[in-house]
Amino acid sequence: LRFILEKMKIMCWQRHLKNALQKAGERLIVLGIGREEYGDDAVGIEAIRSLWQVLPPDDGVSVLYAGTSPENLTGLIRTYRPDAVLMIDAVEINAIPGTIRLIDWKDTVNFSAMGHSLPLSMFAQYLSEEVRCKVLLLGVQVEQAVMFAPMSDTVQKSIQHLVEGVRRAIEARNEEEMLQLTIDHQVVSAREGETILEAARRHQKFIPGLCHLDGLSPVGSCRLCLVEVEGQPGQVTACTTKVQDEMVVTTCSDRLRSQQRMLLQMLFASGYHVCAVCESNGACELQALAYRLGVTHLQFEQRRAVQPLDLSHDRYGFDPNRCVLCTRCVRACSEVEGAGIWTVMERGSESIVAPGSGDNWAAAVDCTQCGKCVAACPTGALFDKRVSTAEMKKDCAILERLKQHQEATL
Amino acid sequence: MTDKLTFATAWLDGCSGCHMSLLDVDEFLVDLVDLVDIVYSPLVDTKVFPEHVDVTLVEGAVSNVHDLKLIRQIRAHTTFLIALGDCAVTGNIPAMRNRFDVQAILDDVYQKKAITKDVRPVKEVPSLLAAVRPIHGIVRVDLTVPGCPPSATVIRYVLTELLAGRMPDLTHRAHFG
Repeated sequence: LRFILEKMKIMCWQRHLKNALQKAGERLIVLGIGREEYGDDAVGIEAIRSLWQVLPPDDGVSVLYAGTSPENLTGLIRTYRPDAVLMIDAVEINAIPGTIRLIDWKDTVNFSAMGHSLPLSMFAQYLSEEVRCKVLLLGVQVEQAVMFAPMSDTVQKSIQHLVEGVRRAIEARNEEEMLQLTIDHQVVSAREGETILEAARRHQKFIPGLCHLDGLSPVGSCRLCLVEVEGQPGQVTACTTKVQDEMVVTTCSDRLRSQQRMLLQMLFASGYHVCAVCESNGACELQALAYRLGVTHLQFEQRRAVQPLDLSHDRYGFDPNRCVLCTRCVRACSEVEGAGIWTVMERGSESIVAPGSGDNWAAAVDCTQCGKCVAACPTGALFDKRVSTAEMKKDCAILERLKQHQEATL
Repeated sequence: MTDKLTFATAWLDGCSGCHMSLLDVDEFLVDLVDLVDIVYSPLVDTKVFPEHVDVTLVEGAVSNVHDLKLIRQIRAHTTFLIALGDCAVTGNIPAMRNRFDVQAILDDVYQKKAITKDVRPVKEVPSLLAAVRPIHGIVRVDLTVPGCPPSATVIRYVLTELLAGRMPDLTHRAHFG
C-alpha cells in the first residue's frame, strides 16, 4: 500500500506540473533552494545541479542557484520577466520521506520553511504580486536535515524522479504548444491559439494594420492585415485568424502590397488629412504606414465634406475628419475603461465615431476623462488640447499594460 | 552644352519653401550645374517656358487660371514631370479653401475685411479656380515627392537617382507634412 501511495503521488505532481507550466507561458525560472551539507535540505541544490545537465540551453528556461536566500535573486528575476517561477525546496509536510509534491505557494504559510532567511511564502507573494508571474513550489519531504549529515537514500532517489519529471514537463510544454507554419517562405514556430499577426510579429515579420491594438479585442475591420493562406480561397485578416499547423502564409506578395497601398489611399481620401497642419504629424500610424508602403500621393478625390471639430471637452479634442474608423477608441473606452462613451453612428460609408448620444463630447456625462481613447487613436482624430505637435506622442502600449493589470487582479 | 540634360523648376500656388529646400542641397548645386542646364525657373531669368525640357520640378498646387495654363504648357514640353512638395502632391494648405465658395472668399477679403472697399484686382491677379487641385489632378505626373517641404536630402536623392538613370524609390524616404 505504501508503495502504491508513493507511486500515485509521484504521478500526480508530474501531471499537475505539466498542466501548470503549459498554462503559464514561455519564460520559466527554476530556483534551487536549500542548504548544502545539511542533510536532505540540500535537495533543491542537488536537483538544479542535475537539471543544468539535462536541460537543453536557451529553451526559455533559466535554472538558478538560490541557496538559502532566494530573495537575493529578485532583481535578476524581475529583469528576466518570467511567466512562471518554479521553486524546488525541501519541505516538512508530514508525509513519507522522499515524497514530492507540487504545492500552491499560498499554502506554504502552513508548513515550516526549512530555516531559510526569509519565509518562502513572503518571497512567493512578492513574486506573484510584483513580478506578476505564476509561482510554483515543488517540495520534497525530508528524512533528516542535520548539519554535516549526508543526504538520505530516499531523498536521493526522489531527486532523480524530480529531475526527470521537471524535464518532461518542460519538454511537453514545447511539444504541445508549438506549431510550425511558413510565413513568407520561412518556417517559424507559433503557439496554439495565437493569431497569424502575433506569430508574424514575434518573428519580426511586418504586417500593416490600423484597427489592431495589443490589449484590445481584434475586430479585423481595417483590412490592412489581409494575408494569403495557401489552399484557402480569398484572403484572411491576420489579426483575427488563428495559426494552424503547417499553414503557409504570404504577407507581402505584390498583389497584397498594391492592395494595401490602395486601402491606405482610400483611408486618406475618406477623411480630410492635411499632415502639414495636423497635431499628430510625425506621430501618426496612418502616415507611418504610407511612408513604409511607399504611398506618395492619392489617386482619389477627398470623399466627404469637411465636418466641424468637437472641442467641447476640457482636455481633449475630436476631429472627425481625421478618423479612419478603426474603432480603437470605442474598444478602449468600453473594454479597458468600462465607460463606453464612444460608439459608431450612422451606417456604411456615412459611418462616424461619436461620443455619448452623438451631441458633443462634453455632453457625454459618462466620460471619465481618462484619455485612453486618445492614447489608442492611431491618427490625429483624438488629441490632447494641451499638447503641441512637437510633444504629441501617443502611448498605445498603456492599454496592453492596463489590460494585463486588470487580468492579474481579477 | 548640348549634351547636358535640361532642367526647369516652376512655382505655382505654394510658399516657395520647396525651392528653398532645393537650394538647401548646398554644394550639390555646384555638381548639378555641371550636369544639367537650368533653362527655366524662378531662380533664372527666362520668361517663357522652353520648347523642350528633360526634367521639370513643380512646386505648388493648381489654384488659378495662370497655374492651369502654365502646368499644361509644362506638361506639353517636359519629358519627366516631378510634383515637388505637399501642395503639388495633395493640394495641402492652398486646397484648404476648397470647402468655401470662391466668391465668398473674395467677398470676405476684398469687401468685409478690406480697408479700401471695392478694389478687386481683376487684371493684375489671375482669377481663382473653383477648387484647388494637386498637379496630378490636371496633368499626368511622372513622380510625386511629398513633404512640406521635402527635405534637401530627399531632393538630392531624387535628382541623383534620376541623373543616374534610375527611378527613385521613395518608400521610407518621403514624408507628408
